[in-house]
Amino acid sequence: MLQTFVQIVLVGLAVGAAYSLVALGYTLIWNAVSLVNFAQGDLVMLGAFVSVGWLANRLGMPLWLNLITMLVILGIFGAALAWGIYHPLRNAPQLSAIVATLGLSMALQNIAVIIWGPQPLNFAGPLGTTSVHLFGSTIYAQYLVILAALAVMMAIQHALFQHTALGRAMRATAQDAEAARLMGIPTARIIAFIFAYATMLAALAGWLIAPLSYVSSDMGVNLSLRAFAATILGGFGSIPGALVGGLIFGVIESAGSFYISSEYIDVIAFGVLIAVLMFRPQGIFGELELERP
Amino acid sequence: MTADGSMLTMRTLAIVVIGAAILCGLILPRSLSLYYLQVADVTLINILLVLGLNFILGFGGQMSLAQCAFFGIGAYGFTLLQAAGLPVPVAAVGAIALSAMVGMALGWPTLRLKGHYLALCTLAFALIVERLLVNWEGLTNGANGITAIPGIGLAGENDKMLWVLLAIVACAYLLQVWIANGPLGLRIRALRDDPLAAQAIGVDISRLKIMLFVISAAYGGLAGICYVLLRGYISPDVFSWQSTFSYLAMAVVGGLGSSLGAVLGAILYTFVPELLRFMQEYYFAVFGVMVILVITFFPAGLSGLVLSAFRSLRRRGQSYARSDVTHHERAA
Repeated sequence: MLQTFVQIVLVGLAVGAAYSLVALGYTLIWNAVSLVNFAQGDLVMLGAFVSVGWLANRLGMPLWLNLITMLVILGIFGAALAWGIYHPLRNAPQLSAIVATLGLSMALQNIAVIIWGPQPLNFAGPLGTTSVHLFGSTIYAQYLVILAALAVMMAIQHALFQHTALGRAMRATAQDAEAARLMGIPTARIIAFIFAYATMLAALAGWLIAPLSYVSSDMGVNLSLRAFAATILGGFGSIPGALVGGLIFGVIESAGSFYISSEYIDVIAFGVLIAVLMFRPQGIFGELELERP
Repeated sequence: MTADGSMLTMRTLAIVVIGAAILCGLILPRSLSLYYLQVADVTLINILLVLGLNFILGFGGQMSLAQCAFFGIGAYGFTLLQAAGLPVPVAAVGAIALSAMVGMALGWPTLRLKGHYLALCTLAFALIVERLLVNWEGLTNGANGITAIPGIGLAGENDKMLWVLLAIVACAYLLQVWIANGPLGLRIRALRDDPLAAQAIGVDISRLKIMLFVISAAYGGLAGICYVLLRGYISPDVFSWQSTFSYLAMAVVGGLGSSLGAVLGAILYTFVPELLRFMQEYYFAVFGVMVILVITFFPAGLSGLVLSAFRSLRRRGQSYARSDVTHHERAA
């Protein structure tokens, strides 16, 4: 009984950690430029495809080099998105920007099929199907890798935001871009950095979950919806909210599918989400002010 | 005023729309193969869905992403009511009423939610409905769907269905323009442009929001019934939550808050890809990029382009300068 419980919670937390990584991307971009990037999930997919389809299968790179190269490529891509998608729409109404990112999502998914073909790809990752025993329960080691990766990323992010000039500039831009610009911060470049970083987080999530599932053009869709749910659950715009929201949502899903019904898991998880929003429309960590001008 | 209505009186518009529908009904069956006729029929159903989305999103500014759910509820509602032995008109009214009621049931508890919160809630609702359609096998026969639905006996008869759908879409179109240009339409747009000010001058915005959910759900339900009549079979994948983004793309590329835009957007998304079969694989990649370009350069969508071209033609014929704002500015 305890073993299954531990297993459920660990798997839930690990899956939730992937949601958190994507949700953090939403949050950082939202804080910086008040835009919800609905293509965030497709950046997950893109990261996995670049890593598996190009770097691993074509070039046969060692895994560590594969990861770093992929993150650099996706980081550049993210910065390009800031310039190509966000910049032209920075003064447009919110809905326009949302729909533009949906268009981007549609384009990315179809471009992925054109480049890498409709067949899903396999990726063994660093550990393959190695399992570990923990408190008497057995789970894939990859789950623990995901949890560890989230912890490491959070430590790096904390150091970046709190202790570097770049991080301070990013926080200042997120708080008030206009004031930051008047203080001499090159906000356009900082925003490109934020997009790059958010894209790298999503791509990392893709690299981490690829060994647990196939790499396919639609792998980002479900992830992005759940990450979006995590963002809302935690409270839009809150970094701890995105983190905790993702983990909670992962555990709700994992526990719900084990204890109640695996067929109705989406009904349960999103039903809980709607119920939470009914009583706490601002999410767990959210400010009560729901709309920005 | 919407740009559709500001230039034409309701009566002229009615003549134009009905004329266009009759023209389509006469020309399309002669010039299109049976397969393309079916694509035309599906396009008409998509027009209905986007018209419905237009109410809540285009006119009302409420970010609802549940259109595919109402589509499914209408389709399954109609099918099951007919299977229960009800005559077609009763089943149809029942399915639309069911859809509208579910719309109200979604609109009422989500009154406090705005922007992204509402978007997620409605999206979650769409996902829940889809999963119920897949998993509630006793009622919906699960992923296999329901086949051999009698409907009105025109399933697969794409040429006859074209007339039925043209008639329904023409009515739905005119109803939308009529509502949008009436006092209710003014209140709806007041809600979109400034909810606080609208409330201050006595608009009951809560009631209005629920009403928008109800109307757009009813349009979605009607589209669901049309789909059943056209195909004779249904399965949950037609009503998947992801398809809601397609309707959103159609609405935006066509031009939000414009009934003409709903028509143009649905045609561009549904019909044009079939004509461009040779680039099938690339079309939706290109379409995605096109969505971005349209949003960036023509925020009023295709209908905005068409209408401003029309407007500048008219203006050339008039010697005096007009002071009204352009459609482009209004939409921004």
